[in-house]
Amino acid sequence: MASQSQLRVPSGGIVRVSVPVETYFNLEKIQQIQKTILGRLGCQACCSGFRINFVPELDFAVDEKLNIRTVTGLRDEEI
Amino acid sequence: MGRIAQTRLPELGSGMIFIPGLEPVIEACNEWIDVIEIEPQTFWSGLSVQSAQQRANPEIRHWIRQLSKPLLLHGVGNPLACSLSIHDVQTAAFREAVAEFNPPWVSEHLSFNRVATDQEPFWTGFFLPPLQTSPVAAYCAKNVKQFQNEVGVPVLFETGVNYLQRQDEEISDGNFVRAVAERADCGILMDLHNMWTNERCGRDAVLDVVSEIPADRVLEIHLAGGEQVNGWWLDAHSGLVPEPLQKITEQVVARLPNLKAIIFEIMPQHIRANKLDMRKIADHLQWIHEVWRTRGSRVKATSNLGSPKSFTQSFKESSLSGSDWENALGRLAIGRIATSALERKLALDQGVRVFADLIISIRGGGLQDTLPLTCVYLKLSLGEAQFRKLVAEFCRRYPPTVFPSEDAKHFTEYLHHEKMAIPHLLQVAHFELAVIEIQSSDLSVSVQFTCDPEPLLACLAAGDLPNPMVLEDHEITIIHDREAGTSLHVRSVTKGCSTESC
Repeated sequence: MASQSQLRVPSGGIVRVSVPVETYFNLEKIQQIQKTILGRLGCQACCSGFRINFVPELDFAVDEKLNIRTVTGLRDEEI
Repeated sequence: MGRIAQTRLPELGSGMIFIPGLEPVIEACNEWIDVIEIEPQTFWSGLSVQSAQQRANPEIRHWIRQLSKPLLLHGVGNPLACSLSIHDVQTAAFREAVAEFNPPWVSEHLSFNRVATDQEPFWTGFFLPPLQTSPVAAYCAKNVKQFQNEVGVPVLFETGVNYLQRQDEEISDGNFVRAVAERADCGILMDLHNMWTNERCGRDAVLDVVSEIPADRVLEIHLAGGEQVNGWWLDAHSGLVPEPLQKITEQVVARLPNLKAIIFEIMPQHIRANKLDMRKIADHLQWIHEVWRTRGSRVKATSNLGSPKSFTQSFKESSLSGSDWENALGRLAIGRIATSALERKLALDQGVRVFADLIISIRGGGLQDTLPLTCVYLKLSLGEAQFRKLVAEFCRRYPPTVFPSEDAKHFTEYLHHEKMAIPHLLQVAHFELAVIEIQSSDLSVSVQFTCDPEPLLACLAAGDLPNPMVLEDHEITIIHDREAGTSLHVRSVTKGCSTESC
């Protein structure tokens, strides 16, 4: 890994390198995603609909043992 | 708070709900918003079971305070129809919110979301309808009074959604609402879209329910839109109030002598998905404002604060207890196999399947919100159908939690047990859990990777399946930079690489 920091090799041969975040990570997209997490940690709001990013397929079924079977299809929300 | 005192509550006008994501709507439609009703649990990130300290997003709290509008609080985590009574940690946190935002009254749902068992109680992950019998009405009223004593302001209960068919031992929807309100001597939040949804799902007609409810106890109304899915009308808060319900609303509001607020509810993700523009929403809020102005205009003078009409229907005897009902419905709703006679009977009600699917949807959506890169990695690796089966099986094995962050932890634990052959999957999940963890902590969190995390995470963020990675040890330290608000800093410390390769 290329680094802009000066390397010093301790006797154990393990190198720990700290690099400035800006030069190491292309963080923008990742941070944007992680930041959106912070707005989505609360309780489900007061509504009784499907989550738009996890909508089930439209088939319901109950088998002979009365187990409720749900089969799902996905409608993606953009990350 | 008694009936007479309810009339002295302030008339706040018409407005809308606040949940995170609705800020642009509220700002754009400010002219037609007299009052904002906050759902505080939607911006709490979790509660410590040892304390009532709420982890409320500070940016959101600041935004609300700068609104300079009257505020109400609408609870969405501590409903009032649980046989287990109200939740002490949620109640304490809600009391803090009351102290902060100073509403003249608050509201919660006449539903249950926790079930007692012989072992630990479990959460249902969704508001479920109570059994409409006399003993249940009694403990609902007790919960209302207790919650009111705890939070120190008047409490209204909201009329709920019910996708089930009425049981033989139950009384009508309107008479049950009336029974609770009379016993608790409290006000009612009449959610007309919930009632309309119930009617469309085969329950009592809206106007029949309204006729059974003491008009002078209705202090607040909720309005919303919904959507049709596979023959079911769902209270999805996905759009404007449907036209037939608009006409009902105009009739009902004119007959309410004590109405204090009308609140419009909508979910922000549906505004984007349905391309609902701000002009339409503003026009809709203007219509609601005009309806508000007609409140009580068709009330006969003799009906104001008069004695309640006698019940048109008596409670029936029932051997079924509220907790038995909760246990049966709760277990089926979270995906458990029917074992008792009541569960086998309930399982034949297609409304139970609606609840069960809603709960999986909410939990699956919550996982995609809290573990987005992990879920993308799973979908890319397994395919969407298999991903959904994985989520459904997770939902079956792990009961719901109150906050999606807790479900995220359980899902990561589940992935660990499943030993999936997806390289670095758990490391990605632990990275995302660390992001959740540090937002309420001043500590830094380090996450280990056995590959270079940057290309791995960047690929997933772009929606691409990562190429096989060279195995090498890396460590990411995540720090919450409080001075910069909620922005994150990721500092990577690479270890275990030789000078030649660096």
